[in-house]
Amino acid sequence: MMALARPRAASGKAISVLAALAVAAAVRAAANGHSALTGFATGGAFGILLVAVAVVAGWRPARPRPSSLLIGLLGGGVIVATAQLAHPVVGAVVGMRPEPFAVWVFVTALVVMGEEAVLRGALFRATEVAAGPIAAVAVTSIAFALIHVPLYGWQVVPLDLGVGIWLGGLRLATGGIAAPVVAHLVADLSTWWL
Amino acid sequence: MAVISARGRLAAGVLFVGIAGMWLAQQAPATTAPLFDGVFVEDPYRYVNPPPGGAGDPQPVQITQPAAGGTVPLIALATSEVPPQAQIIAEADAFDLAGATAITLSIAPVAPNDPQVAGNVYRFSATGEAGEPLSLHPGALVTVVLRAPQAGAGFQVAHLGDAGWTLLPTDHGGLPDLFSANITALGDYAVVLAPTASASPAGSLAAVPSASPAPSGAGNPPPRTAGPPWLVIILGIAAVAVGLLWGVIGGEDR
Repeated sequence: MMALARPRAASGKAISVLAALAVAAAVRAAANGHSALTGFATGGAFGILLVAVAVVAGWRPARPRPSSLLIGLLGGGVIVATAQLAHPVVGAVVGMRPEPFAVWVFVTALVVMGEEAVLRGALFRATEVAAGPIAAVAVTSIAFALIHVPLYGWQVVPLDLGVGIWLGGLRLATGGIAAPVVAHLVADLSTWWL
Repeated sequence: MAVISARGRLAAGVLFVGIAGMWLAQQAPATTAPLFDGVFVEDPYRYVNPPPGGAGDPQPVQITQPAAGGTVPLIALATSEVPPQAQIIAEADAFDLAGATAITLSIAPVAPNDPQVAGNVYRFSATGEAGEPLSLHPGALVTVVLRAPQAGAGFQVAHLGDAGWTLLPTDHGGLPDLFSANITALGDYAVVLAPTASASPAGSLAAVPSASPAPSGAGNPPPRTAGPPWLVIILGIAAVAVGLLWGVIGGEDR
């Protein structure tokens, strides 16, 4: 009886986390506005809200292992490298780089932390308990792709799906979110220079 | 001998699928560095003829690049808005220098001349050091990226020729309101609302002569004002409640 109840509870948790994620992404897109100030404010609020959702869903921060941080660095490098190999020169022009740099880094880190705490933290764990690790990778990758649609459009889905699977692989390989967080952060921050 | 656990093998497989997916996804045309999230800031669209409440004063931009060994290296030029309203990326040796030793590449906003143009027309031009116009080498890979005042289906990049606007095969330029197309000649380009939302191949806007007088506000829809997505919010809150209830009924695993 207990064995049946545990996956059901985990399924409920996963559904709740997914729904909260959808609401947060939609509200963020609606509130983002056109200025750096509103972009920073909504981005920061989005990150904090997602961390809160993850904590409510049972995720707890833990001290990262140095090996996970290193794997995350390498994982981020792979994401950046595939982009650079596929399109070596065209990335620099668009310039989604709101000043000041330090605030951009801070807010970007908050967003990354929030997304990873929810996706590769709470949602991954709940889905893995409910339906196994492959389902966990699939659900978190699809969710990762879809939460970017309100701001960036449907064309990001294929690439974000691939990146989501990659980050899910890092989560599986290391057992925690430190590696996905670092890889995700490296990929996002690299856009300042690339 | 080291033994790789089942979880380790699964992780390796997932990582392989992930890197293959990333690589395949990026074979499609893209013109932005992938941003997996962060801070999204988009300046209001700047119109040559701003509508009421709209921003104006879009600025032209130009760059001068010396030729090295008779060719010009890759040039990328963009207007100053965030994200730029017009960009051009020309591969190395894309321009026929005709003896010129330097090239000046320019992008200038122009007032739209028909109502199907979304935003400004942008004039792309290249000249040698004496001001003589330069053209593109046949087959050179040159891409323009134009921004529409708002995202939407049915937008395509179009070129203004002698017979009017010609639609070009168009890809998304990395954001919902950016559109890119490869071009074979410099000149006037714009994002236009294509006759059918599903049209993507090259075609012509035959019904809209390029010389038609601009009606009031042509090409300048009012700025978008998006309200909160209440339906999504309500459905999401309901789903959170259902999930929590399911979890409570299921018990355990709190």
